[in-house]
Amino acid sequence: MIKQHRVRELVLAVAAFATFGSATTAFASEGDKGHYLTGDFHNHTTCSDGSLSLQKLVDKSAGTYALDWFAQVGHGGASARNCTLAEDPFEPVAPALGLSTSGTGPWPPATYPSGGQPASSGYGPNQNWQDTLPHGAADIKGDVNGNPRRMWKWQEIQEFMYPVVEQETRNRSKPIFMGLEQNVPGHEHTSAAVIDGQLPLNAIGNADAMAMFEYCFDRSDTDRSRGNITGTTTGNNWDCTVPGSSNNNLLDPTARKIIVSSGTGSGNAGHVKALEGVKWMAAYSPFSSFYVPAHLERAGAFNPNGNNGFNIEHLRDFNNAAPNIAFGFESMPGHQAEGNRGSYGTGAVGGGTYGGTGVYAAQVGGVWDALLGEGRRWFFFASSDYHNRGSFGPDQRESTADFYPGEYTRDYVAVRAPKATFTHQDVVDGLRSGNSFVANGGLIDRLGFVACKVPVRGSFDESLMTRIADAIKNNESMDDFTNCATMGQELKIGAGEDVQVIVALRDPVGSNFAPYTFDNPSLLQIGVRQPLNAPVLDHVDLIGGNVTGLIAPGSANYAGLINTPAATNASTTIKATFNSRNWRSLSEGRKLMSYRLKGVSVSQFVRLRGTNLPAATPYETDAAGNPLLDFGADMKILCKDAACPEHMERDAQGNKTSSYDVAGWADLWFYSNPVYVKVESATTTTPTTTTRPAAERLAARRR
Amino acid sequence: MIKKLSAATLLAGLMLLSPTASAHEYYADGFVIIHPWALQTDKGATTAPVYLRFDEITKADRLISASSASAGRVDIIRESVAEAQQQATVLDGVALSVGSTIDLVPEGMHLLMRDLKTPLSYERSYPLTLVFERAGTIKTTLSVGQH
Repeated sequence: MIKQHRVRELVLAVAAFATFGSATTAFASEGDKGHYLTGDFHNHTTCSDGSLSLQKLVDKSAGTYALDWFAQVGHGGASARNCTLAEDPFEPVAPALGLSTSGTGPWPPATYPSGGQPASSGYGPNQNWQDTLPHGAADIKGDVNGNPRRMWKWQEIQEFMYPVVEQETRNRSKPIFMGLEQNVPGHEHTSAAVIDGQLPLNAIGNADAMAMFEYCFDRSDTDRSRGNITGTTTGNNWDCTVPGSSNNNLLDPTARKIIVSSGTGSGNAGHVKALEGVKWMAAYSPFSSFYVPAHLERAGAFNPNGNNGFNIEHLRDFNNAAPNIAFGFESMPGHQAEGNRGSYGTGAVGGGTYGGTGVYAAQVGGVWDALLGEGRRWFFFASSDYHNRGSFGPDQRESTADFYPGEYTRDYVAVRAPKATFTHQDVVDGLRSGNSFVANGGLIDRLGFVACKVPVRGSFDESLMTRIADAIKNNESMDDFTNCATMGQELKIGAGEDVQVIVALRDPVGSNFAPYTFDNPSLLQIGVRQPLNAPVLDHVDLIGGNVTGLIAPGSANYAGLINTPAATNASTTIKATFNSRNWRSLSEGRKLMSYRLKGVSVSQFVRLRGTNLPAATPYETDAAGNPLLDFGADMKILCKDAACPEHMERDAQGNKTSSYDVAGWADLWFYSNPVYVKVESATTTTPTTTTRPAAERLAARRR
Repeated sequence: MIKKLSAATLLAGLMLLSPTASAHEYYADGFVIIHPWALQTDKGATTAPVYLRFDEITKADRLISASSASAGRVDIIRESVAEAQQQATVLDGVALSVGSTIDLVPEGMHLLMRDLKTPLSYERSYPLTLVFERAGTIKTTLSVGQH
């Protein structure tokens, strides 16, 4: 399959090279207005360590929670269960702790979809592959693995999961595609996708490229069969050679992939293999793949002799190798309802999450800002990482583990195509553009964020603010305002010119998906009464720092842990804070705010974050409004309302404390991606992602 | 009496500790806790054994207690083949020595939830708090079934 793509991709690569460095903005003019569409690209089924069928997970995500697009991204390696078998008919569950399980309410949306629920082993998607395939274990390919025999992820994707997502796409008229949560050699995990072949117009598609990537580059895939029928040379006969790579000599002659031995040096050797994977994507799928390290602080710092976390130098390595593919991270993890928020333990870099976000993005002037300070196109994303609802069933509203895709965390991605016809390729283009933002708990659902050039000796066109405020009514993605740049884009100005930053957003009226109507326990500490399911945006921080150019590999500040010069951008500050005292309130919950950067003489970036919690909320925010370590709130914030659910953790005195899903719903944040301002006379080297040629994008509208 | 596990159910749980399987991990300062798990329990069951692995131990430590909101108490026990039919031995801790891998397994050291407050249901997860001499308190969840 890869061979079939080579010629086309080579043409694309040449085209990309021709435009690289021309400081293109994220979208070339094409005629379609961009809109923000929501999706999720990190979640699990019983084909890895999840608890639902593929169909039910899609139904929850694209149906119940109405996401506009969805990528099924589960672990690589091998697994025994057949996630393509739908749940057996609905089996009633006992009433949840503290809440009715009534299917008729009192909460929207419908509590029980038609899929029923998995309640026991041996049924639905918990049945084994070998028990449910026509020829049993004989239908499972590759090196024999386990009893019951497990199937390699490459075969699951290629032969069984992809046909389901293609059918779901056609049935729902929404892009639904296959990705992979790669067990990264030398590191923990990355959310990745290669969409070549998936969802062609009027034809049966395939996920062969995605499957091949898994075989070639997933740490847990120890299959040496080259994607073939067991013991034969019949099948895919994959070869994981990376064009032009000096590391091709590392390929195992039988498996035709790099095999990293565990133990001493495995982290370093693994990182080499991980980089080969990114280079492979760049060679074969330069505009149709993405590589986004997930919960990257969770496993601690990088370990040269194991498979732990990612330091900043590894992110730089990935971005250097493939800037159009490795363009961001999930520093905000999923698992937002876990007792250890985000499933981060005390061994995580930073010692846990901060308002649900890892330290790499939560710390002003930290790792993310250091990357942005190089001018790197490095963007913030978040997904659910859905596995299960902890001690609750899949159709119950409470959770002590995960929220469904779209239920809590929503990633809004600019898609430059009509909503009715946009494709998975448009989604990947949108992710790469950086024109996106993440909001938890429905804190905001519209954002217009631009930096605009103020003419020398001229006055700023105030009507622009009104036009931007109007544009968010239609959910437009701010790509086309003259002399302005939005998220992921770069505004070019002359030295000493002013820049007007304009922010329009919507704090939606009504309730979010939380099942709780009692007052937010975190806010109650400071005397604020606010229903947990109707959060109100308290303030927005405008954060900015200088862009001083790329740091070369091997130079002094290329590698380092948090709080070292390598991972710090000391110029980064909170430039302004907006709240009800200085923003303009408009209809439908919209807020409008602006800030003038005066006499800009150095290149810089600006980004936003916002929250429902005021500065100095005990155990939640510091005096400057920064999120505090979530572990610090453990057992500290009482949940005193009579409606506080029974599953709350209790302190030494037996009092219920804000924990699990309640703690998640109480502490909400949104993060924008950055807008870059480049002073034309500045000599900094500014990297850029490259826009896929417009003609190619149009050709990719294959659905 | 502690219920004996069938070979198949044991295999299902232990499979998740193998390198090619997906398992959840908790990264503490100096070691990793890999995949706490239990079998689903029958209605009316009062106890549930819990298994897990400590790996990548770079700093010596000692598990000194465990607790769960889903149980009255959690004991650290050692259960030999003979003891499986009798009373298990309650331990005061589990030593984590640098460079070793410690498996809490059936017919060996493991945790035992007593006075279960709720049956452990298939495909769900339940809170399990582990307390260590050096690393302090680590919150985890134990999985029931194959996830």
